[in-house]
Amino acid sequence: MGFFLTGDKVFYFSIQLHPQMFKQPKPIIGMLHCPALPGSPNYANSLENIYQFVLNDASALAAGGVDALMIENYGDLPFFPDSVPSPTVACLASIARKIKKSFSLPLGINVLRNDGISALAIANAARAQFVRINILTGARLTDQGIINGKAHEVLRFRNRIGARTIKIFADISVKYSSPLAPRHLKNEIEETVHRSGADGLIVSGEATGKPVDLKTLQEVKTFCEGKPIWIGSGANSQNILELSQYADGFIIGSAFKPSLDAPIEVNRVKEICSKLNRSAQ
Amino acid sequence: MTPLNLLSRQLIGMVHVRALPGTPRDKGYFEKVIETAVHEAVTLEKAGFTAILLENMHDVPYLKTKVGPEITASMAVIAQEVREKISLPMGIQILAGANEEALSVAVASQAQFIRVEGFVFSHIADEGFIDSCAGKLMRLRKELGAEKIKILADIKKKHSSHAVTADISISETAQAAEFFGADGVILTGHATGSAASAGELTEVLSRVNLPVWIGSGITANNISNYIKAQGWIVGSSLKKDNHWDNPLNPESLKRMVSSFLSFSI
Repeated sequence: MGFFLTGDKVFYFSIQLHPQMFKQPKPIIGMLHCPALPGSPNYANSLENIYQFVLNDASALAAGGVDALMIENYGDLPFFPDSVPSPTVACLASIARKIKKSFSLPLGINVLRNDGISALAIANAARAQFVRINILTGARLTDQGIINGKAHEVLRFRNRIGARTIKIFADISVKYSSPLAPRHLKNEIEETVHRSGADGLIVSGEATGKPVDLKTLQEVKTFCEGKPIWIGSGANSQNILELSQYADGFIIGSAFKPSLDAPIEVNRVKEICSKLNRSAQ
Repeated sequence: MTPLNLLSRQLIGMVHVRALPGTPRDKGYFEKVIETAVHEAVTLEKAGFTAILLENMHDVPYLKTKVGPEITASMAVIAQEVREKISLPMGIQILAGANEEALSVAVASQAQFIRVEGFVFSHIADEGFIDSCAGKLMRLRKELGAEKIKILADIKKKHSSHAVTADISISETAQAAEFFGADGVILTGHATGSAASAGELTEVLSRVNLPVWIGSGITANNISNYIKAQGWIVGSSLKKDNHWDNPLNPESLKRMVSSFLSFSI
């Protein structure tokens, strides 16, 4: 359980987050937003530049003090709802491997919009430790249309490729989507954890950079079935201390840069990371 | 990284990548698979080969024309590791006929060529019926901005029945590949390790303006029978007991390179 009640007060336990992966309590995962990859409409025709951009961002994140990195094909707009084509898989695998060899931080993979199978394939090939899956179970109406969760295929695939140690962090009510049929959060979480195998839960706002609703976060924490809760959007230097009362970890991208396409600025990373380190001590 | 010059003679050494994650022979040690491939590529470069070709040879039984992301991602990582350790031109082949995935891996790892099965016409391979992929593959190459990656196309390929094209000669097949934009064609015998026909080589060379490579059965002893070819892809005969499943045999590498050098310079 993630909480207990005394009178009208709720106290939350901090859940130990996969201690073999993260050294610090309340870890921060820094996002590596890949510019458009080959085959995507906005591809700028130089893979070398993409590799360099991502390596520079990773250096800034590492120097700024994040606890882990996560690579995402953020530039590949508009996203495929499910399987991505093979050039995306190959390029992300190359990038992931380069990052893995250059930085000792734990590494995650997110293949937008919802290709958990390719994310696991890339994580396994690059020896990364976790994946983010936007819709692991159930069905949601997204900006890519209706997306069905594929936990049944994702978990079997993970076994077949011998990658059971790769953790799956699954979104609950992910950004840029609506439920097709609203259900109680408690049921959704139980199904995501017990029937679909999520190792961690992610709570996000309505869009990239948008803060999570505090009430939703508290509710997720209440029903979290002992799984760690990650903040998946909108964490910044102003709200991170407050959020850290409920969240076990943070996935941060936009707050580390002046605009979404810009390179990561190490000072922004330091500012946010130092806030959390103070609170953690 | 040396560019691939299709006008000069190439001795291409095969790196038969060990079983990849999720395939029946996978033993679960992917780091070891990477290491072995890198070691073999470096060994081939040191021995004097002029190019290498990475192939997922141990993924038997092969899938037909499309493989999953676990193969694409694993080959991309292996190709990148190899690329960092050698400067020779590098090619990619993903069995069986998974040519779009091979092109994707080549793009990601900055490889210079892919070996393509089933580029034109059709045949019945041991994986089943294979159809021409040229139309889609060449569009993908354009879409990826990867025209510099050369397409070396097998024609009337080994391990296959060509009864369905019995009224089309090998040179007509080569002409079709040329018409569809292949950068070179590859002649093979009937199986891995079995020799191509020197007569077919002469026939094809007289009908197309493309480099012709020999893609199976080349040994240090018979390479001189194919002296008019522009490239020789060698795998099985470099291995212990001439079997593709075995490790590289340093003596065989030496013999092969010296035979190649005896007439190529």
